Amino acid sequence: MKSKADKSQFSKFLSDNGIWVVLVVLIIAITLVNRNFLTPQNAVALLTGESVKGVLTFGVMMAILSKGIDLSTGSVAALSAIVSAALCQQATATKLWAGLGTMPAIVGILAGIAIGCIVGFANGWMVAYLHLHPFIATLGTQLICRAICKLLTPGPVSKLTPGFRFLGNGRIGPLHMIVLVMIILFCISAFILRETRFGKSVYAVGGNDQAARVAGINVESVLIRVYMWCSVCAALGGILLAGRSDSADPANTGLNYELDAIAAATVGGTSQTGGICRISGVAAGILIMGVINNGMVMMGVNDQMTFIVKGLIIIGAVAFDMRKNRVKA
Amino acid sequence: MRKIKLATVLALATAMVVGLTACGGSGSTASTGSSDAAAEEETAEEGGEEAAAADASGLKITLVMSQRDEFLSSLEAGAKKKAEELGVNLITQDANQDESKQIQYVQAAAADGQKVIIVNPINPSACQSIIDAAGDMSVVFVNRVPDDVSVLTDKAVYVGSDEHTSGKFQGDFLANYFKEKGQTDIKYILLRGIEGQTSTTLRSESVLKALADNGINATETYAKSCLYDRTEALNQMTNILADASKEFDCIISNNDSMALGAIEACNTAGRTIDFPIVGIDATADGRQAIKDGTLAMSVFQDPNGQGGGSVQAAVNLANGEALNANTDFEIDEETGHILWVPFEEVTPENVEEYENR
Repeated sequence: MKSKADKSQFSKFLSDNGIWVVLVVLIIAITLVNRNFLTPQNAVALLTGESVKGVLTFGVMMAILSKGIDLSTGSVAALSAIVSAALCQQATATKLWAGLGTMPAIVGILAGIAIGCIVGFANGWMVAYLHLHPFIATLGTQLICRAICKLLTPGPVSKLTPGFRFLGNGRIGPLHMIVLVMIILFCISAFILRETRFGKSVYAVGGNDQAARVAGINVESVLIRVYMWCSVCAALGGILLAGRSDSADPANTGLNYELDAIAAATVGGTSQTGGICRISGVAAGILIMGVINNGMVMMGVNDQMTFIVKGLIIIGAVAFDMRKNRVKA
Repeated sequence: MRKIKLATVLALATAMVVGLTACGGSGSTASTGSSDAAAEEETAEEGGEEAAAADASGLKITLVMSQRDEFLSSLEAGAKKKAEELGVNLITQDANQDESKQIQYVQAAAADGQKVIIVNPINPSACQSIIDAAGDMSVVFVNRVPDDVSVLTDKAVYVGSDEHTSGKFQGDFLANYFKEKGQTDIKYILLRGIEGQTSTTLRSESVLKALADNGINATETYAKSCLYDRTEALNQMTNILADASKEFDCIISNNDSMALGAIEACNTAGRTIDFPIVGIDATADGRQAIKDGTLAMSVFQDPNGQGGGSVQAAVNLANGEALNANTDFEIDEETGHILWVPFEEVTPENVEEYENR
């Protein structure tokens, strides 16, 4: 009798945490092919490589949870990267805005975050008050932000101050700042979703906005805050990107990152029908995407195969989740 | 129901593992197999190069591409061919113009314990961050020269062509052409590539410098970016040709595509091409135009030489040999860390030689 209960608990655990099982199996499989995969050095390579997309994912996760989507995150990251980088170029660099001195890093960072706030507010306002479908509203801001980037500068903005690069490139002892930022953002996201009224409201709005309204939730205000959170995460991602690569490129920085972020959130079990999201699952989703990116290089597989495997995993994960959620219902 | 769920999880996981290991396995087996074969073949054929081939075989090298346009794809093919010859296990990754991804690939190769990596940098002004990411690995930059060559060391080298010389071929050609006509004052149209790219700047600068050095007094009639694009050049040239006040004696183009757009515009406008149009790249279409007599000359940038040269340089670094060992290329005298793959002039006289290169 007891063993049966154990068994059912075990399979429940497996079903709830299937994504972690997949992650572990992937790690074991790749390690079997190349033992260098499971080394501290490679863990650093993997985590620093995925941090920016991770930060974007914690943002877009919230939009998807509210039964929306945000397609503008990659472009917002680029715009934030260019403006903040231009404010923090070294004195010897070819300046984007000649005449403007080198600003302290914090000014550049705050300018980038401010851009996130503005675009996020615009996205949220359009979704909440104009009742635009989030897909359309954020597609619009995606195009606009990318175009502004290209208007601001024809080529990459490079040679940034060490202070500004610290977030993306620096480290405290063995700890890389860019990974630390992702971990902090993970903690903040978890806190918001689990412990705050706002977090509960997002679940409610995503699950059924009419019911949420009846329950006294200010749906419009929740939506605006959701999209602002999402864009601020994206802006932060842009600052990290610029710091990491010592340049911000109008055409290519953050290009298609929104899709990678959506994919990671989705693989992590965030349901496109809204109202369903587990932060631990999303973390696993980010790591799975990272393990595939990095593992494919380690196994010496040519790069197009990476996309095929990613595609299969996205499809598989969503199919599995739909089945699980249907069974629950 | 629970069983179904359990089964799904396991099935999904198994499928991924099988898929992953299968493609990993087949990929590496295939390449090792063929490289062994290639190495043996070489040993059999050429006794002299036996040592180099034997040293290189089994070496695993990653080539990180900035993107895959027409030229860079030929460069990649050249690198693969060379790798097969030397028995190197070459893996290419396309960073798709994403600098973060580029660094990620470099770090992964370093973590894998590879000795040397070849990088076609996305942004020539951010090469130091690639060297940092490489850690103990040596880095061979290919095709795009770092803006700041002081980042180059014994463990970070560059293989590519000197963009300062590409325009020089154009300038020398035009200078000779006009000197033979007894003309020293000329007006030119310059079709520029994408602004902000090093190639655009250097190609434009070097052609004008060569004209001046040859005692030609060149005046600009029109000089704008046509984005290296054929259609854009066609549109802009159509407007110029419609404006009779814009006189010119020659058209200088930063690449063949734009030169072909200019030729197209002349044909459409019914303008006889009795003036020289010069390009760079010697693409298939460009070479055809040289044969047709519409394009006066072009400059050949050698993708096989750059790709193959970068692989040879990587092997040389790994084996502690001289940078230019087993190549015909010259080392830059000033830095000592650059392997120059020369540009070559392509004219109606020698265009046939470039058919299969």
